[in-house]
Amino acid sequence: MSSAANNPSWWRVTQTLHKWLGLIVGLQFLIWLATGLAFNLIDEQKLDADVYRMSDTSAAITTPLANPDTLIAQYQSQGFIQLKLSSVLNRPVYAISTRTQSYWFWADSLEPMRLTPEQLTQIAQASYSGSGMMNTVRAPTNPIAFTAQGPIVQIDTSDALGTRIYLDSASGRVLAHQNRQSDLKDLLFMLHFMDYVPENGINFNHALIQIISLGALLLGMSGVLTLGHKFSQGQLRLPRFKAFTSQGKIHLYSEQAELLSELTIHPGTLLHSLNQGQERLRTSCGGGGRCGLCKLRFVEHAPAPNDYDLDKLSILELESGVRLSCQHPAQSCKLALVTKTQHRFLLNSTNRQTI
Amino acid sequence: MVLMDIEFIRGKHLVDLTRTAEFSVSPPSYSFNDLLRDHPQATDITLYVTQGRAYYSAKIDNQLQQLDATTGKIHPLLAEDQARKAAVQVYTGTANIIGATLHQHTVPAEISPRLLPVWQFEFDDMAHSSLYISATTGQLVSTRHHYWRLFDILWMLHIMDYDTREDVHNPLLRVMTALAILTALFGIALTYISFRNSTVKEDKQ
Repeated sequence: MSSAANNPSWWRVTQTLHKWLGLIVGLQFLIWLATGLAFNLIDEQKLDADVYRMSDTSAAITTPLANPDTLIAQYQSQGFIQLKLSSVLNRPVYAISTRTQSYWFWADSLEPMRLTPEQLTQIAQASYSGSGMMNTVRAPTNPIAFTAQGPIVQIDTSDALGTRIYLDSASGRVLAHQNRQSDLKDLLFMLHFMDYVPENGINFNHALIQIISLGALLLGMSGVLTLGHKFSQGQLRLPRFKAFTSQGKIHLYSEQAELLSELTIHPGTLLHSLNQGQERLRTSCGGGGRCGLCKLRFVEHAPAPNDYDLDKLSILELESGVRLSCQHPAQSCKLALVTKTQHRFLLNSTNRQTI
Repeated sequence: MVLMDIEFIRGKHLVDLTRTAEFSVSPPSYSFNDLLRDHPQATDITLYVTQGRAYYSAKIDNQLQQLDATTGKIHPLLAEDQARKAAVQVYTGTANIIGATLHQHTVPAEISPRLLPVWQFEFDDMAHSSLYISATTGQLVSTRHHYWRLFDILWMLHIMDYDTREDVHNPLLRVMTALAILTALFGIALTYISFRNSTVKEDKQ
């Protein structure tokens, strides 16, 4: 490629970067927007996991309690943090927390609390206001990320939302309700956070999303820079309120200076006017100043070259008045083709048109 | 936002609750049974030890109260020096406290009003951390720092709710997102055209 400036200039690097970043982050960019719009549009109740969740009301305890002093003495060597009195299935429970672990004891007998599947089902039922039936207790069927002290169990209900209830089998605490609505919410979050391994909870602090986000930031910045550069090169104009007046014609000559055609001027670039109605000049970048295929020679009064001319054309070409026709506004002028390929294409195109 | 670890934002590194662990606890002379006899409606009763003394925290008449585990007396609001000791105990840094405020009726916007009454201790560390200590129980209820505050501003920009920073259903966000989707679709079309044309060019050469 012959060019006046052989060093890649900043705006070419920026444009190439923009193109490749668009390829890499474009799809995720669309996913972010689509899921973001979904969160904006969908009513929160339609994504709610707790449609049938009953709030835990801690009732006053009336049964006499066993003295927990022996428990404290037994576990203080692990580092005592607190002893909490709660109730499970209306029976009082001591929960003792140490630096390392928590333990549960029935507060009326100090026996360690071990919940049977039937008891877990009763706890689930008490947290549920729907009319579905409780299925049997089982291990979680899909990856979940709750902090629990003991094995987590899942109880499915037969309601229309497909409510599932998760419990910590050690403490008897209801960890969460989930249903088809919250599954949709989780799916949207998974896509929005690009977290395709949600076993450890859906989070947004992982390398993949960090890289793609940085890519998206660079995509935006390179886009703004490219837009600014194109504007400074006269490629983009703010919409004018004055009506466009087309005066004169574009006279197109062959390399041997024979007149080929006279063309009407249309608002936009010379290339745009030349290709009006039929494709007379073949380009591959479509007028972005990137391929150099639209170069033509101004027979007289060549305009000053811009960055794209300087980049694509040799000094000899520039001096003889060759410019990229995609880079200069349509005006009354005399232009000559530069290559045989251009001439051949124009003839073929005219033939195609007449046949 | 993705570069800022959310656990860091939540201030997990600022405090270590296991520092409150006690290895020698004398059994409280005022027992759970005594408490329930004196306050039959009490719920959420917890025995804990802070600075060598045992206390109960309990919800009595819908209000969180601290009771002395030796005498069973309900304590008035925590004095500054006690709350200060509780804050220093859980704080993992070494910076000094440069501000102490007792919030009794209104809270700073960064925490929830249900935490009232609460002591706020500001630390002279890089992130200007604040620890919030419940003025009833002396227990840590919240941590905030500059990065949390910065994250809150980023969140405001993210959801374009410049007013309450909460409403993700606002119409401005809806319009801008819809326009952005159009932009992205055009961008994807341009990307396709751009890469398709470069293959055409190679064919010709």
